[in-house]
Amino acid sequence: MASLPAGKAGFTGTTGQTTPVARRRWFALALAILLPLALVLAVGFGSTRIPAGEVLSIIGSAARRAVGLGPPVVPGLPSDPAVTIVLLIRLPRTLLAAVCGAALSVAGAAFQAVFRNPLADPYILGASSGGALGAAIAILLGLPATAIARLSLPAAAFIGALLAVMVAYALARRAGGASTLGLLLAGVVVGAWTASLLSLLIYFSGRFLAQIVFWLMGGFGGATWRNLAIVLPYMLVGSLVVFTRTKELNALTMGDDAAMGMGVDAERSRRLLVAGSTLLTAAAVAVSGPIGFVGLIVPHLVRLVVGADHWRLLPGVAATGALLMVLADTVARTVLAPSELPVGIITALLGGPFFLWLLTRRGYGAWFGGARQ
Amino acid sequence: MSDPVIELRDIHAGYHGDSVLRGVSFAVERGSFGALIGPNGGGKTTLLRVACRILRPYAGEVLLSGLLASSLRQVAVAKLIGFVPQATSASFEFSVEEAVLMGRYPHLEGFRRPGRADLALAEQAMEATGTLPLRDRLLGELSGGEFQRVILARSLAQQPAALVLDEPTAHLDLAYQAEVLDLLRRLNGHGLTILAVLHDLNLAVQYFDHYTLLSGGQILAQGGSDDVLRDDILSRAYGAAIAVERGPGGRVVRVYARAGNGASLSGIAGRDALGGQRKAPATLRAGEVLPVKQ
Repeated sequence: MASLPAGKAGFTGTTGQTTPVARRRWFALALAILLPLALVLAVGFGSTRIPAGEVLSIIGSAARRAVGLGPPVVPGLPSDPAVTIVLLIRLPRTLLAAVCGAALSVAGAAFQAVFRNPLADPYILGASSGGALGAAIAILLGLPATAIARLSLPAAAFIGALLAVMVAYALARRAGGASTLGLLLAGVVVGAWTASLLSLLIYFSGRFLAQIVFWLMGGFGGATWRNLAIVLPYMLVGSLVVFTRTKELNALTMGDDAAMGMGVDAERSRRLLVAGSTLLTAAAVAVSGPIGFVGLIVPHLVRLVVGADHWRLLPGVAATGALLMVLADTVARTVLAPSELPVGIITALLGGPFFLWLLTRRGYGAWFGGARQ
Repeated sequence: MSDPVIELRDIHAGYHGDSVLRGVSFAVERGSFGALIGPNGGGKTTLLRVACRILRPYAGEVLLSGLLASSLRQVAVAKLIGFVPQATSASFEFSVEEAVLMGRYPHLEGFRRPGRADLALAEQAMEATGTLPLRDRLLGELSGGEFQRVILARSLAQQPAALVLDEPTAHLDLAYQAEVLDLLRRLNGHGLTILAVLHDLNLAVQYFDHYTLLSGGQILAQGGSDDVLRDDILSRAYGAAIAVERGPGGRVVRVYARAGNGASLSGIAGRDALGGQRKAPATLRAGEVLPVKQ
């Protein structure tokens, strides 16, 4: 057996089954085709149907103009409504859904590894209730109606989410080192406490009730290019932090002592990974509200196909998260057209049963508290 | 003459301000094959964690190959010492090969990924531990013994100068215990320094020739079997009457505890459901022998 050729990272597999390498290639190919396809179709889909070819040509000519190639726009000329719909409404919304889906899923995968907990999701340290509290305060203060208009709501949610996680982290440290369990407990406590503050605000919210509750259900209804531009830098920084630490993520899943034994400074790595994942989560929460289940389920789904190595896992998780969120958002804005369902309802409706199926799969028992014999 | 791979100098260490180690000085000579023994709570695991720079001591110095551990980065420590923690379950489904390749991480600077040379080393480590046939299996599918050998393979892939193991035979049945300890002895024959925490003294005496006895956060004795495995020393360390039985030539045959304080157990044991007394004596008197079960 020692004579196996070096560099054979592949699998010999058993009779007739697809080998993991082949499975990974198919998966990557499928994502490479499906994600762009879904983006184009989602932009074309809606109360006004726009054929995919036209979507592409509208985006293409806008892109050429943006880099100064195409014919200049003649001012005053009434533009085609399809152009307005694609460029000002559906494209930014679809892209925002894609980046939020990717961000939440990557954050979920990182949190699961860092906490060695398959039930961890991007909101595990209280980011969602913190963001919600920030948003509710902004709404109650009437900030969204002021001059800085729509910017203040994402900003307040972002700050709320960051603050909640920082408080949880500080609490865990004070209680004796930011250990995995300490952080989890602090996150649960901060989340619950923030949620109760939020309930209090909602109780007294009066005419703002509907606005707050709608925000809490999560969605991309208010998507603009500006929203996209605001969150993208945070998401890029967060992604950079997480994507450059795949070895640390792998090592941390083995436990802190084992990770230290492999030369990984466990506490420092965890701190950075939590910070990066929190940026990703807070940015997503800021523009879309809390959207559940995507960040919990996508990592599991992709792990089933490509395995646990984060080097392969994270890109797959990002693409799959983007794809699923675009699909969910398209469903959310079309099933009840002209009115719109919050996308959080769709992801929860589909995510719950899927997660149960995952739980009952053979071999997953060991993940959920099963002891090794 | 002495060339320690690991040297602890007057180490005080513990958790949350409590001291578990109280002034431990201790050296692991290059090429040695040593067992760290002692009662529960005596500080064995803490000592290993300090030696691998996982736990910072309150006071004292740790030298690794003559270098001050506190001045080394964790990666540098990992190149010197392979640490095998007590068998933990893996919460994510890595394949055996992926898990063993993680042993190469200390040697991969920055964002570098394991390459062909790393895979070849991982294969060697799997070959040495008999885990090569398992390379495509998921960690969750392994038995306790297989898992332990995979973790061992990962540490070997680190190419360390010394291997530090925390109860490598815990949770293993007799066959696997022998297999793992035989493997460690062979590795030692190839020049790898080994320090293992062993709970089971009867297992330790079959394999090791150097012992360090840790009790109450201090080293009570160290040296060969004649220096450490003595009735009086072990009895003091374990706080119980321990007897060492030696065969011809002074070889230790077995180590066992004489049962203790003569307290009556009749109230809590030895009765059946109807309250009748069983035949077996329910009361153990001091001096009576109760062999330690494995």
